[in-house]
Amino acid sequence: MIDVRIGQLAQQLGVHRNTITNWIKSGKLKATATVGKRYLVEESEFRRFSQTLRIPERMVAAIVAPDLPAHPIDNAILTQPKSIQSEVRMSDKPIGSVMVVGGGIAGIQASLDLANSGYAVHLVERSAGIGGVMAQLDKTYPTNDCAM
Amino acid sequence: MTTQTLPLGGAPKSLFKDKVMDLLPDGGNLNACLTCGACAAGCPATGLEGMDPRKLLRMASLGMDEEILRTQWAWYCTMCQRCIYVCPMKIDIPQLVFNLRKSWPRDRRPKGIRESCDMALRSDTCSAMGANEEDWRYVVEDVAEEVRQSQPGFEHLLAPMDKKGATYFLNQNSREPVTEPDEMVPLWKVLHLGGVDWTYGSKGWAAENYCMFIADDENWEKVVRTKAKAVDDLGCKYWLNTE
Amino acid sequence: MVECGRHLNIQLHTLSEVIGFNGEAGNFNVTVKKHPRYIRPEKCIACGACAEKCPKKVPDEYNMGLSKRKAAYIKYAQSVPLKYAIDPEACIYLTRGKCRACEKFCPTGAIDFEEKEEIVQMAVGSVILAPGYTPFDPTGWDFYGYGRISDVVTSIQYERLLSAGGPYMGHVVRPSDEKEPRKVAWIQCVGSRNTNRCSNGYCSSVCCMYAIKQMLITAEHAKGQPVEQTVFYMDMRSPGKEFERYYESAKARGIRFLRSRPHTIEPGEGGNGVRMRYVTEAGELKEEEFDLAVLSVGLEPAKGSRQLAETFGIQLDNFGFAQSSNLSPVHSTRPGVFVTGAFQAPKAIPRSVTQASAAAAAAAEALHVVRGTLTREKSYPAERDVSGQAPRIGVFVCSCGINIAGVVDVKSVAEYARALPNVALVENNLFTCSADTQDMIAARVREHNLNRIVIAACTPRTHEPLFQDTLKEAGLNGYLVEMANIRNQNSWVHQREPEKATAKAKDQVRMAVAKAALADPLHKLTIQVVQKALVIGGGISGMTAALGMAEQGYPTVLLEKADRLGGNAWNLTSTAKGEAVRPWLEGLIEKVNQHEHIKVLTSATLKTAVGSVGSFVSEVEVDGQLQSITYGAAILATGARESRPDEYLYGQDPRVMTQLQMATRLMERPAEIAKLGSVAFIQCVGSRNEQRPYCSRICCTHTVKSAIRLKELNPRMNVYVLFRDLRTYGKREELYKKARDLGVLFIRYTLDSKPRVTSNGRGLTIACSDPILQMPLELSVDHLVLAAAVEPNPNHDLVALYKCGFNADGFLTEAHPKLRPVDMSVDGLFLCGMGNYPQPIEESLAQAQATVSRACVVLARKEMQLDAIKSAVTEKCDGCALCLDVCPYRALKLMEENGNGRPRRMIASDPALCKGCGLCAATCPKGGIYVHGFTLEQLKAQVVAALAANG
Repeated sequence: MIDVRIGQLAQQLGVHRNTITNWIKSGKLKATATVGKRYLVEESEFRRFSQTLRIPERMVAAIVAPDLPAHPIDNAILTQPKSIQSEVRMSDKPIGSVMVVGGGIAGIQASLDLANSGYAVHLVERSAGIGGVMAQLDKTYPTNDCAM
Repeated sequence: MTTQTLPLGGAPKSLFKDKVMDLLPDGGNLNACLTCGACAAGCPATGLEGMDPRKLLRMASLGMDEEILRTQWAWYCTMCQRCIYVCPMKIDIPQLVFNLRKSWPRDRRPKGIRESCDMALRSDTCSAMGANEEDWRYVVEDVAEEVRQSQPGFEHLLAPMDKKGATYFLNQNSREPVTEPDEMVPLWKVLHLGGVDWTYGSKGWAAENYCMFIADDENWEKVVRTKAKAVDDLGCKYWLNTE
Repeated sequence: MVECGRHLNIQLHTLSEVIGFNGEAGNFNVTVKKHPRYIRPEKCIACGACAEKCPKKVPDEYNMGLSKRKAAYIKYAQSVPLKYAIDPEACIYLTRGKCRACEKFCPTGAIDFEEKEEIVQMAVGSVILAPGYTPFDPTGWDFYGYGRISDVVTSIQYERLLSAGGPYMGHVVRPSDEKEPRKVAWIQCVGSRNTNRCSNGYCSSVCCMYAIKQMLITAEHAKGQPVEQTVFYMDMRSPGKEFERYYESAKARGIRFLRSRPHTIEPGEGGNGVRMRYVTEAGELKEEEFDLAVLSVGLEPAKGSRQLAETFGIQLDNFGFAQSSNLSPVHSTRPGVFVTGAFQAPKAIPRSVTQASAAAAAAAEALHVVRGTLTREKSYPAERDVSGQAPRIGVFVCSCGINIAGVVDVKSVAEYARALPNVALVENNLFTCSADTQDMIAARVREHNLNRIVIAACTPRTHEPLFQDTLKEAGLNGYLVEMANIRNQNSWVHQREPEKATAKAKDQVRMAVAKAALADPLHKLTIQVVQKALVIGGGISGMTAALGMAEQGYPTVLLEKADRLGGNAWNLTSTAKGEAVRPWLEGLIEKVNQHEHIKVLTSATLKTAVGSVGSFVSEVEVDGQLQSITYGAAILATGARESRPDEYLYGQDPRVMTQLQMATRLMERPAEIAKLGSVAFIQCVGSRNEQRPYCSRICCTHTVKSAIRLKELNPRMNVYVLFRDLRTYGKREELYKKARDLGVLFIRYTLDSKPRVTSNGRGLTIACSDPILQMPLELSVDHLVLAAAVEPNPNHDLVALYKCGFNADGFLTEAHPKLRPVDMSVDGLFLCGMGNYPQPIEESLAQAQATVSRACVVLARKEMQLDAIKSAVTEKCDGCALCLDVCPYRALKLMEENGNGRPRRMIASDPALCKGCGLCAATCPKGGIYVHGFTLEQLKAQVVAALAANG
C-alpha cells in the first residue's frame, strides 16, 4: 500500500497537483482517502495506472521502491514513501522505526526527536488525543506560558 | 519546657525510646518522625501541660528520658489513636504513651483510676465502682419492671439476666446501674424492638477496664479473662462490648 | 502537539493499546489493539454538532469531574488529532441500542457505529515507554473530606479552575457557591511521603513548585482584591534552577508558608469553605477558616502501567515506577525497551522533556545504521509568485481563550482591522495555534488570494515557525507572515486597563499591517553540515555525550582541561540507588578512550570559535600546541565543583571538612571513621543565602547517604544533621526515611539563627536550637561535615567565545527551561551536566543523552537551511565600516574590490554568522545595510503607523 500526498506525488511525477486530484476524483487512479488529505493506493493499482500513462520505470520505482541503502537523510532525494505498517521481517539489519507508548509531553518530545533525526515513529496513545496531563495544566513556571 | 541547654552527643546510651522500639513491630516507626505536626493538630490533649504528641516524641528522640517518664501528660492522653491515624509515617505514639504509663511505679499512677482497677479486681463482676452481683441484679430487675408497667408498648420488655445460650452477652458500664439506672433503658428498647436474643450476666457484666488505662498488663488480662469466662459459661455466641 | 500531529514521520495511533509484544532489540513485533472511535477521522471536521445533539452527559475527566461532557466528545479545543469520538461506555446507542442522534446531525456522515476494534501488527526496532502518571486520588482519606466537602479540591482540579479552557473559563471560584475565594489554603504531600495512608514513600518532586506557581498565578487572577494564600508543608522543596528565587519571591509576595500539617479538614459555616486546626512549630494550636482548600496531590505511576510492564516484560520498582539504574536511567530491564518521563520516576516537565530526548537517543543508538530508511521528507506545494501583486493581507486576531480576550476586546480589534489599507480579510480565532486553524488559514489564503498574513496573538518565539509552515503549505513564502504580539506585550501586562489595552492592540495591528504590506518573500540559505561533534568537558556528562555521538556514527572530539578524564566522579562512591560508581567510571573512561570515533584531548583548552550551527571552526591548545578542528555541533559539559566554605571553622580546625572530604575518608579509611563517637552535618553551607541564592540540589541526598553509611559502620554512633529544608526529592525520600530509621537525628535551623561552632581540645561543640521544643541544644561531636555549595566551574571564557550565556549564579543557560532544556540559545550548542545546574548522576546522564539526540537532529543532514533573517549590503555602502565594530557576531568584513575599474571598499556580510540582530542597520548612516524582513522602509512604515491617530 502506498501512502500518497498530492503535492508530493505531483512533484515526483512533474505534474500539477490538480492533475493528481483529477485522476483520483475521476477514478482513473483508484485511491482511498485517509487522514489529512492523504490517499492510499495499492501498489498493483499504481503500477497499472503508471503503465497507462507510460510513466518511466525509474520514476515508478522511486515511488514504490524497496529499502534504499542506509544513509543520513539527503535533502535532495526523497526517500521512498513506503507505508509504515510493514510486516514482521526477518533480517539481521534492525528496523529503522521506533514505537513510543504514551502521548504525553515525554512521548511527544521523544517522537519529535526521533522523527527529526531519521526514524519513523509509531506513537501509541490510549485516549482519544495526545497531550497527557500537561494539557490539563494552566500556565507553566517560569515563563507562565500556557501549558497547551 | 526547660530553657536549659540540652547536651547531646556524649557516650551512646540506650534511650527509653529504644526500649519501646524493641517491643513494637517495625519499632513502632518511632524514629521516623518528620515533625509535621499532624498528630498534634488532631490530639484532644494538645496544649495540656504545654505538651503534645509531637513534643513528646521529640523529647523521647532527644533522650530526655527523665522528663518524659515523669510527665503527667502520659495520663492526659485518651488513647483515641487520632495521632497515628493521620501520621504519614504511622508512628505508634499511643504505644509510646502506654509504655510510659507502664514505667510508672504502680503506687504512683493516678489514684482515681488505680483504685478503680483495684476495685474491679475484688469481685467477679469486674465493676470498678464496686457494684456487687446482688445490687446489679436487683437494679436491672427493678428498672425493667418499671418500664413494663409504665411505658405503653413495652409491656413485654425484658432485661434478661444469666440467660443460658443467648446469642448476645451485653456488658454494661458500672456508672449506669449505680448512678443513672434509667440510662440503661434505651438500649433495652432497641434490642427488644429488634427481637434480639440477648442477656446480661451476673458475673463479668461490667464493661469498663481501668487496669488497661493504668497500663497494668497483668491485671488487665485478668479482668478480661474473668469477663470472657462469664460469657463462655453462659454459652453465648457474641460478646457485645459497649466500651 | 501540532508538530507531532502533522509530522510526516510520526504516525499517531490514538484510542490504541499494546496487547502483545515479542522479539529482540532491533526487531520487535508489537500487537496493537485500536479501539473504535465510532467517528471516521477522515470525514470528521470537528464541527461539534454530534456533541451538541448528544443527550447523554457524563463527568468530564479532562476537567477532573468539575464539569460534564457528552458521550460524543472531544477532549479539548486544541486536541490532536482534532477529531471527535464516541465514548462506548456512555453512549446510549452503544450501551442500550437507542438514540443515534449524532448520526442524524453529522453534516459529513462521519458517524460509524459499525466500526470494530482492529488488531494491528507493527514491526519496530526499539520501544520507548512513556505512559506518564496519574494524580493521586485522595478520596479514601476521610480526614481531608475530599469528595464529601465541596470546597476541598485537588491541585489538578485547581489547574482546571485556573485554566481559560476550564469549567469556569479561568475565573477561579469555589465549587460550593461559585463565589471567588478570598482565602485559599494548600496542603502539601497528599499521597506522597506517606507510608500510612498509601504506599507512596517517595516524594513526588513537583508539588512544592506547582503549589507556589498556582499561588502566584492566583494572585494575578484576582482582579483588584487580594487573595490570602497559605501553604501547609513539611519541607519546601525548590531545588531546581531558579526555583529558590521563585520561592523567595512568593514569600516576598506575602504568601504564608506554614511548616505544619492540619489533622482534619472540616466543612466551613453553612457548608461553604473549610475549617482546619493546625499547630505552629512552637506548639500553639490554631483554628482557621478558608474559602477553599487545595490538596497538592502526588504523582503515581499511570493507571495500567503494571499491565504495560507485564506486556513489555520489564521490571517495576517497589512503587510501580520503571526499574532502571541511575547509571543508565532510560534503559529498562529489557534491552531495546526504554523508559522515560514520569513513568521512570516522578518528575516535572523540564526533566521529562530532557529524559524523553535521552530515551530517543538511546532508542536510536541501536538503529543508526538504518537511519533514514523508513522516513519521508516533507514537500510543500510550489511557491506562488506574488511579486508585482498588490498586497492582500489576511489578519487573524487570536483570542487565546481568555489569555488575550480576557483583557483586549478582540472583536473590536478585528473590526478595526477591516478598515486598514490593504487588508482583504479579517478573522477572529479562539486559538490560532490549533491544528484546525492552520487548515483554515491555508484555506483562506487560497480562497481570497491572500499574499500576506498578519497574526495578532502571542510572541513569535512560541509559534512563528508554525505559522511560517502553514503559509508554505498554502503555497506562500513562509516569510510573508508578520506577528503582532498582543499577548506578552499587551494582555499580560495591561490587565487592569482593558480599554487602553484594546487601543494599543489596534495600534499594534495597524503597525503589523503596515509592515506586512512591504514584506517580500525571503529564501533560506543552504549550508553544508560538518557531520562531526565537539564535546567540551570530560566528566561523566561529557564522556556520555561523546560516547552517544560516537555510537551514532559521528566523529567526536572530547576536550578536557585537566590531565585525566572523569571529573567529580572520582570522588563518589555510589549513586542514590547504591550502585558503585568507581568501576562504572573506569569502564566508561576505557570505552571513551578506545572508541574509534572519539578523539580525546586532555590538558586541552578551547582558544577560538568561529562559525555557526552546522559549521564551526575552533583552535584548541593541547600542551602548548595549537590544533584546528571543525564540527557541526558542540556540547558544553563544563561541570561544577564543591566550593570552599568560609564559616563554621572550616580551614581552622581539621575536624571540620566538606562532604567530598568525608566521602574520600569513608572510601579510604572506613575503619577509622567507624571508631568515631559523634558526627554532625550542616546543610546549605554557602547555598540559599545572599552570596548564592540557589539550592545546590545534591547535598541533602549526599549527606543522608553518608549518614546511613556512618550508622552502618557503627550503629551506636551519634549522627546529627542540621538542615533548613530536607530536599531528598523523588525516590531519594526512601534514603531520608532509612536514615531516620537508623537513628540519625535531624534538627532544623533557620538562616537567621545558624548553628555556632566552637572547638575545644577534644572535639567540636555545636550550639543550635530544637525548633519543636524551643530549647537550646549543644552537640559534642568528633567531626563536622559541611554540605558546601556547588559552584560552576569557570566558564566565562568559553561563554565569551561562543556568545552564549550564563545566569546570575554563573551556570550555563538553556534556551528555554521547559521546551528546550538542553539547547543553548546559540544554535548548534547544547549543554548538559553540572555546568548547567548541580544535579545527581542520573540527571546528568539523562541530560547528556538528550544533547546527543538534539545534536543528532543537527548533524543528521548533510545540508541545513539557515533562517533568512540576515543582513544584506546595498549599493549605498561606501565602506565607512562603522558597522564593523558593532556586530556582536563578527559577521561583517571590509572588502576591497574593483568595481568599474576603480578600487572600492564595501562591507560583506557572512550569512552563516549573521543573526539578524539589526545593529548594523541601526548604525549605518547611509542605508548601506539592512536586515531582510526588517527593511528600513518596513520599519519606517511601522513608525508612521504607530504615530498615526487611532481610527
